[in-house]
Amino acid sequence: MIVETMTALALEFENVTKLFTADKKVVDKLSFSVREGEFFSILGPSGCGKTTCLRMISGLEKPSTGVIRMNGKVVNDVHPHKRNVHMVFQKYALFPHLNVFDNVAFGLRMKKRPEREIRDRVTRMLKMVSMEDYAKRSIQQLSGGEQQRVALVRSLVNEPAILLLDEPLGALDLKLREQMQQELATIQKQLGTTFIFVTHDQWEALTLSDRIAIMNRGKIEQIGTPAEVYEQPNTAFVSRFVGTTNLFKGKLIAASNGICSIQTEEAGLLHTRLEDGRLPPPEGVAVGLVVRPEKIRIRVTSPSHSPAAASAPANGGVLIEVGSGAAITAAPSVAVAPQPSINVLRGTLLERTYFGATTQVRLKINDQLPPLIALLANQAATKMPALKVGERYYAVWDAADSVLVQDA
Amino acid sequence: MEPTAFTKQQKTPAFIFPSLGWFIFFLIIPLGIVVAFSLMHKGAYGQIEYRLDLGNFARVFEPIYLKTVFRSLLLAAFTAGTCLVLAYPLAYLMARSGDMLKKLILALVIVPFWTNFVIRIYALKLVLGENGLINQLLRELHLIAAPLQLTDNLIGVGIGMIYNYLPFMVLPLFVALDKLDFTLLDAAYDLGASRVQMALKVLLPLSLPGIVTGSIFVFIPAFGEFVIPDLMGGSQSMYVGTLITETFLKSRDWPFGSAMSTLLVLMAMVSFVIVLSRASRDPAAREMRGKRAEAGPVHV
Ligand SMILES: Nc1ncnc2c1ncn2[C@@H]1O[C@H](COP(=O)(O)OP(=O)(O)OP(=O)(O)O)[C@@H](O)[C@H]1O
Ligand SMILES: [Mg+2]
Repeated sequence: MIVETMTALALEFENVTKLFTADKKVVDKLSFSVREGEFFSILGPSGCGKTTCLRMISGLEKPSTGVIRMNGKVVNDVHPHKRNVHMVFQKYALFPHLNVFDNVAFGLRMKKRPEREIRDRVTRMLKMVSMEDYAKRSIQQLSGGEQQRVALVRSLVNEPAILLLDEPLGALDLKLREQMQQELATIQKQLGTTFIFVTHDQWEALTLSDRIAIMNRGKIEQIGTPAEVYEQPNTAFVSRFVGTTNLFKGKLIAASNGICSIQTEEAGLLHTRLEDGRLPPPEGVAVGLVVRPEKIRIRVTSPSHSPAAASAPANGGVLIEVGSGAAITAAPSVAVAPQPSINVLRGTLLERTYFGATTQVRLKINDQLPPLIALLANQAATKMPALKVGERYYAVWDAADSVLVQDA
Repeated sequence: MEPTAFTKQQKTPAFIFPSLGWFIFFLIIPLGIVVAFSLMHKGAYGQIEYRLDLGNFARVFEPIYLKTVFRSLLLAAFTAGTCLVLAYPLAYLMARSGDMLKKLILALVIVPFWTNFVIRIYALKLVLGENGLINQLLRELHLIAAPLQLTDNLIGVGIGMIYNYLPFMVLPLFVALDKLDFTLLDAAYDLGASRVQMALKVLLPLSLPGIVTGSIFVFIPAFGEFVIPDLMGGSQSMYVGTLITETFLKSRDWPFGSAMSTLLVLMAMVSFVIVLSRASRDPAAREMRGKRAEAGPVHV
């Protein structure tokens, strides 16, 4: 599945399965690989097996079946201390009886490095995270962000080939988290260490990673760059887990010229364009159609009455036209798209939330569908008439902007 | 620390008066009487003459009594040490096991307290006796020909002391280990520590408060113990506790007995002060304070 490139593989999982009890596969036939120097994230809901993966990489747990390789060598039976892998724990796990310096020096002391070398390396690391003045402080006197930095360099000072980070930012408040994300990215680039970063925060994974693996119930649902997993989710789960999404379930009834037509129970016939080179699934199969809120445009008139609007650019620019009231009342409650290249739905505006740069609206199509969510770029008031709660509007998006997913 | 509603409060709340009264009447006053007696003179017929006599304290330091004190210290140290070695693995197991097993072991540790102490010691004496359970079992298994002498000697005293004081060591150790974050051990292992290094560099320093508390809980009462040596040791040797009882009841030398008691109490108090002053420096106490600080808002 993953294209082999010339860059060395720091880590490979091949059909790795882990069971703690006979009846539950915590990690189920996992296969993936991580390139050297990559910032690789594992994203998934709580309990999906992320920490277990990291513990198998570090050697704290052994896989039940399957093979783990590092730099091409099988490490299943290599002692954890011989793997050159270190872990930043979920709640830092800093030693409360040692000060900042001694915490960072712990690994080097275990390896019996000369005291002089320890002092140099620890000091250099503390400097890197601007903590050199905190060396003598006790752990309890540090803020959450400072503890985080100490935990990070306590691992990094040992110069691991792979650094495992288990939700390292989970305990921090939002502002601090964003700041630490930046620091983490900078440090990773600077040192070139392979990072395997576990999180259940989608935005964190999207902004930080070179590639993301999305895990669900012990399995990987998709691996790809942030743009790939966001724009082209493979499964309904991925689309729901990464970003906000509108999902329609239905049956594939026709596929021609890259356009798939899906008959949905709640929203009628919808269309989507397959990415180039992707083969359509067999007709009649249950699929889902996913459209991101920012791809949806809101209109006052039906696009079929206004050919100019239908040819509007699909680059997210929002066009809202004030139309005549007569045209609106004439339209059916669920509009069928006039041509397969766009989708049109009609519904009542439930809610409008102003976010500054954007406005989110929720449109009630009918009783069966959850409200459609659209994210509109805010423009000058003259270009953008006020949307009124309770009024009926059209939601329009291009077939090419929606994605076909499996297992809806 | 920030003054809270409680620390700021100046007036003594009324609800502490009953316990305060209890302490004054049943602890402070009797202790005062003992200290007063220790400074007085013993009359010819065992009565107390109300004049100052510092000789009682001087007598405590006579070799024969010092030997007894030393023997008691040895017994207390042996009891505390052995209990520590036996209790630590048990407490560790309890702290790491699941909720059910944890509660079960805890119950087993506490259950003996439901029976009267003296009855328990007599029962133990029977179990260890010549025709007791242990000797019978060993004979049935043909491991021994003649019964082992397990009571009325030092072995009996040792077994009795450990049996009786083990829970006082297990409980504080369990409390210390139970609140320990065991991912710290994973972290140490991840950083290259061996099992021994994990124990010495992480587990030991972090459970030190429990070790100190447990040792004090065992050492101090074991030092003054007189029932167990009396019942389990035959009439072989004298311990401080026995000595004091006999001084009061047999030789009727109340001032000398009071002097010895006063010194015992003094020793206990000194060791408590040492422990308390340590407690303010110990890592677990610091950790608790850290936890509280964490709960507050984080300033960037
Ligand atoms: N040592 C263990 N023994 C038995 N079950 C375990 C053990 N470790 C983990 N599990 C189970 O395996 C599953 C996955 O756990 P894991 O810690 O890997 O999840 P996670 O993805 O890291 O979740 P979170 O985001 O909450 O940290 C959970 O159901 C957990 O109860
Ligand atoms: Mg986890």
